[in-house]
Amino acid sequence: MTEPPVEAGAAGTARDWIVRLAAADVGADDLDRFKAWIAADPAHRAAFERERATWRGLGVLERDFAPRPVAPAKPRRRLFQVAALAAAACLAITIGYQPLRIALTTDYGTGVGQRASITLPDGSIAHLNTDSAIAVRYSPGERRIDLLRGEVLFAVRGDPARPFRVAALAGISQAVGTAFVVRDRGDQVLTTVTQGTVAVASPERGPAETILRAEAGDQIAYRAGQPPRRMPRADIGAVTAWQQGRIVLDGASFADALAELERYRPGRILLVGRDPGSLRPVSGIFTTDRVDQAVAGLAATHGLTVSRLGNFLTILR
Amino acid sequence: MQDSALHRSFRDHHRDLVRFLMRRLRCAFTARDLAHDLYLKLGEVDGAARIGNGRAYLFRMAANLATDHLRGEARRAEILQEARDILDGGAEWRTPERDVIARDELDRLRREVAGLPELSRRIFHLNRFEGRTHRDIAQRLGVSVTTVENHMRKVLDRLAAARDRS
Repeated sequence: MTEPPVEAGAAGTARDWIVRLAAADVGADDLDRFKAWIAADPAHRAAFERERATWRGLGVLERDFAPRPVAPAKPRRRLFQVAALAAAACLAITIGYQPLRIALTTDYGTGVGQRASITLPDGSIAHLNTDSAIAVRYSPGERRIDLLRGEVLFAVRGDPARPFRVAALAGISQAVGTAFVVRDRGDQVLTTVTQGTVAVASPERGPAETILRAEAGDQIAYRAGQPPRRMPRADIGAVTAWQQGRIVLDGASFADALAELERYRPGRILLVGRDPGSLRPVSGIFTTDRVDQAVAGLAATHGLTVSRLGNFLTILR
Repeated sequence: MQDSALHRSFRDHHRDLVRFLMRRLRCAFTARDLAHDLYLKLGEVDGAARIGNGRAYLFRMAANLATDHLRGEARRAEILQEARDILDGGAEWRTPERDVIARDELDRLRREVAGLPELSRRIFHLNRFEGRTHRDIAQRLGVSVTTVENHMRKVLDRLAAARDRS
Protein backbone atom coordinates (compact mmCIF):
# COMPACT_ATOMS: atom_id res chain seq x y z
CA MET A 1 0.00 0.00 0.00
CA THR A 2 1.46 3.37 -0.97
CA GLU A 3 0.62 6.38 1.13
CA PRO A 4 0.65 10.02 0.10
CA PRO A 5 4.13 11.46 0.73
CA VAL A 6 2.91 14.06 3.20
CA GLU A 7 1.30 11.43 5.38
CA ALA A 8 4.28 9.12 5.09
CA GLY A 9 6.45 11.96 6.37
CA ALA A 10 4.06 12.58 9.22
CA ALA A 11 4.11 8.88 10.15
CA GLY A 12 7.91 8.98 10.35
CA THR A 13 7.86 12.12 12.45
CA ALA A 14 5.20 10.56 14.66
CA ARG A 15 7.48 7.57 15.26
CA ASP A 16 10.32 9.94 16.08
CA TRP A 17 8.10 11.52 18.71
CA ILE A 18 7.18 8.16 20.16
CA VAL A 19 10.85 7.27 20.53
CA ARG A 20 11.53 10.68 22.09
CA LEU A 21 8.61 10.52 24.55
CA ALA A 22 9.38 6.94 25.52
CA ALA A 23 13.04 7.80 26.17
CA ALA A 24 11.79 9.08 29.55
CA ASP A 25 14.17 11.99 29.69
CA VAL A 26 12.22 14.65 27.79
CA GLY A 27 12.38 18.30 28.79
CA ALA A 28 9.71 20.98 28.89
CA ASP A 29 10.90 22.33 25.51
CA ASP A 30 10.44 18.88 23.92
CA LEU A 31 6.83 18.82 25.06
CA ASP A 32 6.27 22.33 23.69
CA ARG A 33 7.66 21.32 20.30
CA PHE A 34 5.56 18.17 20.30
CA LYS A 35 2.35 20.10 21.03
CA ALA A 36 3.20 22.66 18.34
CA TRP A 37 3.70 19.85 15.83
CA ILE A 38 0.37 18.23 16.76
CA ALA A 39 -1.45 21.57 16.53
CA ALA A 40 0.10 22.47 13.17
CA ASP A 41 -1.95 20.00 11.11
CA PRO A 42 -4.83 17.61 11.90
CA ALA A 43 -2.99 15.00 9.83
CA HIS A 44 -0.19 15.11 12.40
CA ARG A 45 -2.52 14.13 15.18
CA ALA A 46 -4.03 11.36 13.08
CA ALA A 47 -0.58 10.03 12.17
CA PHE A 48 0.54 10.18 15.79
CA GLU A 49 -2.53 8.33 17.05
CA ARG A 50 -2.04 5.60 14.46
CA GLU A 51 1.61 5.04 15.43
CA ARG A 52 0.74 5.25 19.08
CA ALA A 53 -1.93 2.58 18.68
CA THR A 54 0.75 0.24 17.30
CA TRP A 55 3.16 1.18 20.11
CA ARG A 56 0.54 0.37 22.71
CA GLY A 57 -0.77 -2.67 20.90
CA LEU A 58 2.73 -4.13 21.00
CA GLY A 59 2.12 -4.79 24.68
CA VAL A 60 0.91 -8.28 23.79
CA LEU A 61 4.23 -9.07 22.10
CA GLU A 62 6.39 -8.74 25.20
CA ARG A 63 7.42 -12.40 25.07
CA ASP A 64 8.52 -12.04 21.46
CA PHE A 65 10.91 -9.27 22.43
CA ALA A 66 12.15 -10.94 25.60
CA PRO A 67 15.70 -12.28 25.55
CA ARG A 68 15.74 -15.96 24.59
CA PRO A 69 16.32 -18.08 27.66
CA VAL A 70 19.82 -19.43 28.11
CA ALA A 71 21.19 -21.59 30.91
CA PRO A 72 20.63 -19.59 34.09
CA ALA A 73 23.84 -17.89 35.14
CA LYS A 74 24.01 -16.85 38.76
CA PRO A 75 26.50 -13.97 38.49
CA ARG A 76 24.30 -12.34 35.87
CA ARG A 77 21.34 -12.28 38.17
CA ARG A 78 23.50 -10.75 40.85
CA LEU A 79 24.67 -8.04 38.50
CA PHE A 80 21.09 -7.33 37.51
CA GLN A 81 20.11 -7.01 41.13
CA VAL A 82 22.81 -4.43 41.68
CA ALA A 83 21.64 -2.50 38.64
CA ALA A 84 18.01 -2.65 39.73
CA LEU A 85 18.98 -1.45 43.16
CA ALA A 86 20.94 1.45 41.77
CA ALA A 87 18.16 2.43 39.43
CA ALA A 88 15.74 2.38 42.29
CA ALA A 89 17.94 4.56 44.43
CA CYS A 90 18.83 7.10 41.81
CA LEU A 91 15.83 7.19 39.50
CA ALA A 92 17.43 8.27 36.24
CA ILE A 93 21.09 7.93 37.07
CA THR A 94 22.15 4.36 36.59
CA ILE A 95 24.81 2.47 38.44
CA GLY A 96 25.82 4.72 41.29
CA TYR A 97 29.18 3.59 42.48
CA GLN A 98 28.18 3.43 46.12
CA PRO A 99 25.81 0.45 45.63
CA LEU A 100 28.40 -1.16 43.39
CA ARG A 101 31.13 -0.74 45.97
CA ILE A 102 28.87 -2.23 48.60
CA ALA A 103 28.12 -5.19 46.33
CA LEU A 104 31.81 -6.02 46.18
CA THR A 105 32.22 -6.36 49.95
CA THR A 106 28.79 -7.83 50.70
CA ASP A 107 28.57 -11.35 51.87
CA TYR A 108 24.80 -11.32 52.24
CA GLY A 109 22.24 -8.81 51.05
CA THR A 110 18.59 -8.24 50.32
CA GLY A 111 16.97 -6.12 47.64
CA VAL A 112 14.23 -3.60 48.28
CA GLY A 113 11.14 -5.38 49.57
CA GLN A 114 13.04 -8.62 50.28
CA ARG A 115 13.80 -10.34 53.59
CA ALA A 116 16.24 -13.13 54.34
CA SER A 117 17.39 -15.24 57.28
CA ILE A 118 20.99 -16.37 57.22
CA THR A 119 22.66 -18.90 59.48
CA LEU A 120 26.14 -17.61 60.25
CA PRO A 121 29.15 -19.92 60.58
CA ASP A 122 28.78 -20.15 64.39
CA GLY A 123 25.05 -20.96 64.29
CA SER A 124 23.91 -17.43 65.13
CA ILE A 125 21.21 -16.13 62.83
CA ALA A 126 21.00 -12.84 60.97
CA HIS A 127 17.54 -11.78 59.81
CA LEU A 128 17.97 -9.14 57.11
CA ASN A 129 15.21 -6.60 56.54
CA THR A 130 14.56 -4.85 53.22
CA ASP A 131 17.52 -3.33 51.32
CA SER A 132 20.14 -4.49 53.81
CA ALA A 133 23.67 -5.86 53.50
CA ILE A 134 26.25 -7.35 55.86
CA ALA A 135 29.82 -8.56 55.58
CA VAL A 136 30.80 -11.45 57.83
CA ARG A 137 34.32 -11.27 59.26
CA TYR A 138 34.90 -14.06 61.69
CA SER A 139 38.29 -14.65 63.27
CA PRO A 140 39.38 -16.96 66.12
CA GLY A 141 39.00 -14.21 68.74
CA GLU A 142 35.99 -12.33 67.41
CA ARG A 143 32.74 -12.80 65.49
CA ARG A 144 32.50 -9.53 63.61
CA ILE A 145 29.74 -8.36 61.29
CA ASP A 146 29.90 -5.13 59.31
CA LEU A 147 26.45 -3.67 58.75
CA LEU A 148 26.87 -2.06 55.35
CA ARG A 149 23.30 -0.93 54.89
CA GLY A 150 19.81 -1.34 56.26
CA GLU A 151 18.55 -3.25 59.29
CA VAL A 152 19.37 -6.67 60.72
CA LEU A 153 18.09 -8.64 63.71
CA PHE A 154 20.78 -10.85 65.21
CA ALA A 155 19.95 -13.91 67.30
CA VAL A 156 23.31 -14.63 68.84
CA ARG A 157 24.55 -18.00 70.03
CA GLY A 158 26.40 -17.65 73.32
CA ASP A 159 30.20 -17.95 73.25
CA PRO A 160 31.96 -15.90 75.98
CA ALA A 161 35.36 -16.62 74.46
CA ARG A 162 34.42 -15.12 71.15
CA PRO A 163 32.44 -11.88 71.41
CA PHE A 164 29.82 -11.13 68.75
CA ARG A 165 30.22 -7.58 67.45
CA VAL A 166 28.26 -5.59 64.90
CA ALA A 167 30.09 -2.59 63.43
CA ALA A 168 28.22 0.28 61.78
CA LEU A 169 29.12 3.94 61.25
CA ALA A 170 32.43 3.59 63.09
CA GLY A 171 30.64 2.35 66.22
CA ILE A 172 30.02 -1.12 67.53
CA SER A 173 27.34 -3.16 69.32
CA GLN A 174 28.62 -6.16 71.20
CA ALA A 175 26.62 -9.04 72.62
CA VAL A 176 27.11 -12.31 74.41
CA GLY A 177 24.20 -14.72 73.91
CA THR A 178 21.42 -12.32 73.08
CA ALA A 179 19.23 -10.88 70.32
CA PHE A 180 19.25 -7.35 69.04
CA VAL A 181 18.44 -5.23 65.99
CA VAL A 182 20.92 -2.84 64.43
CA ARG A 183 19.64 -0.33 61.91
CA ASP A 184 21.78 2.03 59.86
CA ARG A 185 19.55 5.02 59.11
CA GLY A 186 22.19 6.74 57.01
CA ASP A 187 23.08 9.48 59.46
CA GLN A 188 22.71 7.48 62.64
CA VAL A 189 22.66 3.92 63.90
CA LEU A 190 19.91 2.58 66.13
CA THR A 191 20.45 -0.53 68.26
CA THR A 192 17.43 -2.14 69.93
CA VAL A 193 17.91 -5.03 72.36
CA THR A 194 15.22 -7.69 72.24
CA GLN A 195 16.87 -10.15 74.66
CA GLY A 196 19.88 -10.21 76.98
CA THR A 197 22.49 -7.47 77.17
CA VAL A 198 24.36 -5.47 74.55
CA ALA A 199 27.20 -2.96 74.90
CA VAL A 200 27.24 -0.13 72.36
CA ALA A 201 30.46 1.80 71.79
CA SER A 202 30.97 4.78 69.51
CA PRO A 203 33.59 5.39 68.34
CA GLU A 204 34.67 1.78 68.46
CA ARG A 205 37.82 2.41 70.48
CA GLY A 206 36.81 5.43 72.54
CA PRO A 207 37.17 6.14 76.28
CA ALA A 208 34.98 4.35 78.81
CA GLU A 209 32.24 7.00 78.84
CA THR A 210 31.53 6.31 75.15
CA ILE A 211 30.19 2.85 76.00
CA LEU A 212 26.56 2.23 77.01
CA ARG A 213 25.07 -1.03 78.23
CA ALA A 214 21.54 -1.87 77.15
CA GLU A 215 19.03 -4.46 78.36
CA ALA A 216 15.99 -5.90 76.59
CA GLY A 217 13.70 -3.08 75.45
CA ASP A 218 16.47 -0.47 75.53
CA GLN A 219 17.24 1.53 72.47
CA ILE A 220 20.58 3.24 71.85
CA ALA A 221 21.40 5.67 69.04
CA TYR A 222 24.71 7.06 67.87
CA ARG A 223 26.06 9.17 65.04
CA ALA A 224 29.46 8.70 63.44
CA GLY A 225 32.20 9.64 65.86
CA GLN A 226 29.74 10.71 68.57
CA PRO A 227 29.01 8.92 71.83
CA PRO A 228 25.91 6.73 72.08
CA ARG A 229 22.71 8.14 73.63
CA ARG A 230 19.80 6.41 75.31
CA MET A 231 16.48 6.70 73.43
CA PRO A 232 12.99 6.22 74.89
CA ARG A 233 12.36 2.53 75.55
CA ALA A 234 11.24 0.67 72.49
CA ASP A 235 8.19 -1.43 71.77
CA ILE A 236 10.07 -4.57 70.78
CA GLY A 237 7.06 -5.90 68.89
CA ALA A 238 6.93 -2.79 66.72
CA VAL A 239 10.70 -2.73 66.11
CA THR A 240 10.77 -6.36 64.99
CA ALA A 241 7.37 -6.39 63.23
CA TRP A 242 9.14 -6.55 59.87
CA GLN A 243 10.05 -10.14 60.68
CA GLN A 244 6.39 -10.99 60.29
CA GLY A 245 6.13 -8.76 57.23
CA ARG A 246 4.50 -5.89 59.09
CA ILE A 247 5.27 -2.21 59.54
CA VAL A 248 3.95 -0.78 62.79
CA LEU A 249 3.63 3.01 63.04
CA ASP A 250 2.53 4.61 66.28
CA GLY A 251 2.07 8.34 65.97
CA ALA A 252 4.90 8.71 63.44
CA SER A 253 5.21 12.06 61.68
CA PHE A 254 3.90 11.96 58.12
CA ALA A 255 7.43 12.36 56.73
CA ASP A 256 8.75 9.51 58.90
CA ALA A 257 5.82 7.30 57.89
CA LEU A 258 6.57 7.88 54.20
CA ALA A 259 10.27 7.23 54.73
CA GLU A 260 9.45 3.99 56.54
CA LEU A 261 7.11 2.75 53.79
CA GLU A 262 9.59 3.83 51.13
CA ARG A 263 12.11 1.32 52.45
CA TYR A 264 10.02 -1.62 51.34
CA ARG A 265 9.43 -0.74 47.70
CA PRO A 266 11.75 0.29 44.90
CA GLY A 267 11.90 3.95 44.03
CA ARG A 268 11.06 7.20 45.70
CA ILE A 269 7.91 8.68 47.19
CA LEU A 270 7.80 12.47 46.90
CA LEU A 271 5.44 14.84 48.65
CA VAL A 272 4.96 17.84 46.38
CA GLY A 273 3.56 21.25 47.27
CA ARG A 274 2.66 20.39 50.86
CA ASP A 275 4.50 20.99 54.08
CA PRO A 276 4.88 17.54 55.66
CA GLY A 277 4.70 19.18 59.08
CA SER A 278 1.14 20.31 58.37
CA LEU A 279 -0.06 16.72 57.92
CA ARG A 280 -1.44 14.62 60.78
CA PRO A 281 0.79 11.97 62.36
CA VAL A 282 0.24 8.38 61.32
CA SER A 283 -0.68 5.29 63.33
CA GLY A 284 -1.40 1.94 61.82
CA ILE A 285 -0.19 -1.51 60.87
CA PHE A 286 0.76 -2.15 57.27
CA THR A 287 2.13 -5.17 55.44
CA THR A 288 5.53 -4.96 53.77
CA ASP A 289 4.36 -6.61 50.56
CA ARG A 290 1.44 -4.24 50.04
CA VAL A 291 3.16 -0.93 50.57
CA ASP A 292 1.56 0.73 47.55
CA GLN A 293 -1.86 0.12 49.10
CA ALA A 294 -0.61 1.59 52.34
CA VAL A 295 0.61 4.70 50.50
CA ALA A 296 -2.73 5.02 48.71
CA GLY A 297 -4.55 4.69 52.03
CA LEU A 298 -2.35 7.28 53.72
CA ALA A 299 -2.87 9.65 50.81
CA ALA A 300 -6.64 9.21 50.97
CA THR A 301 -6.86 9.87 54.70
CA HIS A 302 -4.71 12.98 54.35
CA GLY A 303 -6.54 14.39 51.34
CA LEU A 304 -3.65 13.81 48.92
CA THR A 305 -3.73 12.38 45.42
CA VAL A 306 -1.26 9.76 44.23
CA SER A 307 0.26 9.63 40.78
CA ARG A 308 2.87 7.16 39.66
CA LEU A 309 5.66 7.47 37.20
CA GLY A 310 6.90 4.09 36.12
CA ASN A 311 7.96 1.89 38.97
CA PHE A 312 10.38 4.36 40.43
CA LEU A 313 8.52 7.50 41.37
CA THR A 314 5.32 8.03 43.32
CA ILE A 315 4.11 11.59 43.77
CA LEU A 316 1.74 12.69 46.50
CA ARG A 317 0.19 16.13 46.20
CA MET B 1 40.22 29.21 46.07
CA GLN B 2 41.09 30.39 49.52
CA ASP B 3 40.80 27.93 52.32
CA SER B 4 38.37 29.30 54.86
CA ALA B 5 37.27 28.01 58.25
CA LEU B 6 34.13 26.74 56.48
CA HIS B 7 36.21 24.69 54.10
CA ARG B 8 38.04 23.12 57.00
CA SER B 9 34.75 22.49 58.77
CA PHE B 10 33.42 20.91 55.58
CA ARG B 11 36.33 18.49 55.49
CA ASP B 12 35.85 17.63 59.16
CA HIS B 13 32.16 16.85 58.62
CA HIS B 14 32.32 15.55 55.07
CA ARG B 15 31.19 12.03 55.89
CA ASP B 16 28.32 13.23 58.06
CA LEU B 17 27.23 15.68 55.38
CA VAL B 18 27.18 12.99 52.71
CA ARG B 19 25.21 10.70 55.00
CA PHE B 20 22.81 13.51 55.82
CA LEU B 21 22.26 14.17 52.11
CA MET B 22 21.93 10.47 51.42
CA ARG B 23 19.17 10.17 53.96
CA ARG B 24 17.31 13.08 52.37
CA LEU B 25 17.90 12.03 48.78
CA ARG B 26 18.12 8.25 49.08
CA CYS B 27 20.85 8.22 46.46
CA ALA B 28 24.55 7.98 47.24
CA PHE B 29 25.47 9.26 43.80
CA THR B 30 23.42 12.45 44.06
CA ALA B 31 24.46 12.91 47.69
CA ARG B 32 28.12 12.97 46.68
CA ASP B 33 27.39 15.34 43.80
CA LEU B 34 25.53 17.74 46.04
CA ALA B 35 28.23 17.57 48.71
CA HIS B 36 30.71 18.54 46.01
CA ASP B 37 28.45 21.43 44.89
CA LEU B 38 28.25 22.52 48.49
CA TYR B 39 32.02 22.61 48.77
CA LEU B 40 32.27 24.77 45.65
CA LYS B 41 29.62 27.11 46.99
CA LEU B 42 31.62 27.71 50.16
CA GLY B 43 33.93 29.89 48.08
CA GLU B 44 31.01 32.26 47.41
CA VAL B 45 30.09 32.62 51.06
CA ASP B 46 30.89 36.12 52.22
CA GLY B 47 33.72 35.77 54.66
CA ALA B 48 32.76 39.07 56.30
CA ALA B 49 29.43 37.62 57.38
CA ARG B 50 30.37 36.11 60.72
CA ILE B 51 29.25 32.54 60.83
CA GLY B 52 28.97 31.47 64.42
CA ASN B 53 28.51 27.73 64.12
CA GLY B 54 30.21 26.36 61.01
CA ARG B 55 28.74 22.88 61.38
CA ALA B 56 25.14 24.11 61.72
CA TYR B 57 25.69 26.48 58.80
CA LEU B 58 26.98 23.65 56.57
CA PHE B 59 24.04 21.40 57.38
CA ARG B 60 21.60 24.26 56.69
CA MET B 61 23.24 24.78 53.30
CA ALA B 62 23.08 21.04 52.62
CA ALA B 63 19.38 20.96 53.56
CA ASN B 64 18.68 23.83 51.14
CA LEU B 65 20.58 22.12 48.33
CA ALA B 66 18.66 18.90 48.95
CA THR B 67 15.32 20.74 48.89
CA ASP B 68 16.22 22.49 45.62
CA HIS B 69 17.26 19.18 44.13
CA LEU B 70 14.01 17.47 45.15
CA ARG B 71 11.98 20.38 43.76
CA GLY B 72 13.82 20.07 40.45
CA GLU B 73 13.18 16.36 40.48
CA ALA B 74 9.48 16.90 41.11
CA ARG B 75 9.29 19.37 38.21
CA ARG B 76 11.04 16.88 36.00
CA ALA B 77 8.65 14.19 37.21
CA GLU B 78 5.67 16.29 36.15
CA ILE B 79 7.11 16.66 32.66
CA LEU B 80 7.75 12.91 32.47
CA GLN B 81 4.24 12.25 33.71
CA GLU B 82 2.86 14.36 30.88
CA ALA B 83 5.01 12.54 28.31
CA ARG B 84 3.65 9.31 29.72
CA ASP B 85 0.07 10.53 29.50
CA ILE B 86 0.63 11.38 25.86
CA LEU B 87 1.97 7.89 25.14
CA ASP B 88 -0.53 6.02 27.30
CA GLY B 89 -3.52 8.02 26.16
CA GLY B 90 -4.12 9.43 29.63
CA ALA B 91 -5.49 12.86 30.59
CA GLU B 92 -6.48 14.90 27.52
CA TRP B 93 -4.73 12.46 25.19
CA ARG B 94 -7.42 9.81 25.41
CA THR B 95 -8.75 8.51 22.10
CA PRO B 96 -12.04 6.70 21.53
CA GLU B 97 -10.54 3.70 19.70
CA ARG B 98 -9.07 0.85 21.62
CA ASP B 99 -5.55 -0.22 20.82
CA VAL B 100 -6.21 -3.76 19.74
CA ILE B 101 -4.27 -5.21 16.85
CA ALA B 102 -6.11 -7.46 14.40
CA ARG B 103 -5.06 -11.11 14.35
CA ASP B 104 -3.44 -11.15 10.90
CA GLU B 105 -1.63 -7.89 11.62
CA LEU B 106 -0.37 -9.37 14.88
CA ASP B 107 1.02 -12.39 13.02
CA ARG B 108 2.90 -10.10 10.63
CA LEU B 109 4.30 -8.10 13.53
CA ARG B 110 5.34 -11.24 15.35
CA ARG B 111 7.27 -12.52 12.32
CA GLU B 112 8.94 -9.13 11.96
CA VAL B 113 9.99 -9.16 15.63
CA ALA B 114 11.47 -12.65 15.22
CA GLY B 115 13.62 -11.35 12.36
CA LEU B 116 15.00 -8.36 14.29
CA PRO B 117 18.66 -8.31 15.32
CA GLU B 118 19.20 -9.52 18.88
CA LEU B 119 20.47 -6.09 20.01
CA SER B 120 17.42 -4.32 18.60
CA ARG B 121 15.08 -6.68 20.39
CA ARG B 122 17.00 -6.29 23.62
CA ILE B 123 16.99 -2.48 23.47
CA PHE B 124 13.32 -2.36 22.54
CA HIS B 125 12.43 -4.72 25.38
CA LEU B 126 14.33 -2.68 27.96
CA ASN B 127 12.57 0.51 26.89
CA ARG B 128 9.04 -0.58 25.95
CA PHE B 129 8.54 -3.29 28.55
CA GLU B 130 10.92 -2.43 31.39
CA GLY B 131 10.46 1.31 31.04
CA ARG B 132 14.16 2.08 31.16
CA THR B 133 15.49 5.39 29.85
CA HIS B 134 17.68 5.52 26.78
CA ARG B 135 20.56 6.70 28.90
CA ASP B 136 20.12 3.81 31.29
CA ILE B 137 20.00 1.30 28.42
CA ALA B 138 23.06 2.83 26.76
CA GLN B 139 25.08 2.46 29.97
CA ARG B 140 23.87 -1.06 30.60
CA LEU B 141 24.70 -2.31 27.14
CA GLY B 142 27.83 -0.23 26.66
CA VAL B 143 26.57 1.61 23.57
CA SER B 144 25.87 5.29 22.86
CA VAL B 145 22.50 6.95 23.44
CA THR B 146 22.32 7.65 19.69
CA THR B 147 22.68 3.92 19.01
CA VAL B 148 19.77 3.22 21.36
CA GLU B 149 17.64 5.87 19.61
CA ASN B 150 18.53 4.47 16.19
CA HIS B 151 17.57 0.94 17.19
CA MET B 152 14.27 2.13 18.66
CA ARG B 153 13.47 4.11 15.55
CA LYS B 154 14.46 1.25 13.22
CA VAL B 155 12.32 -1.26 15.11
CA LEU B 156 9.30 1.05 14.93
CA ASP B 157 9.91 1.66 11.22
CA ARG B 158 10.12 -2.06 10.46
CA LEU B 159 7.04 -2.85 12.52
CA ALA B 160 5.08 -0.03 10.85
CA ALA B 161 6.11 -1.38 7.44
CA ALA B 162 5.00 -4.89 8.45
CA ARG B 163 1.74 -3.47 9.77
CA ASP B 164 1.00 -1.61 6.53
CA ARG B 165 1.88 -4.59 4.31
CA SER B 166 -1.41 -6.28 3.55
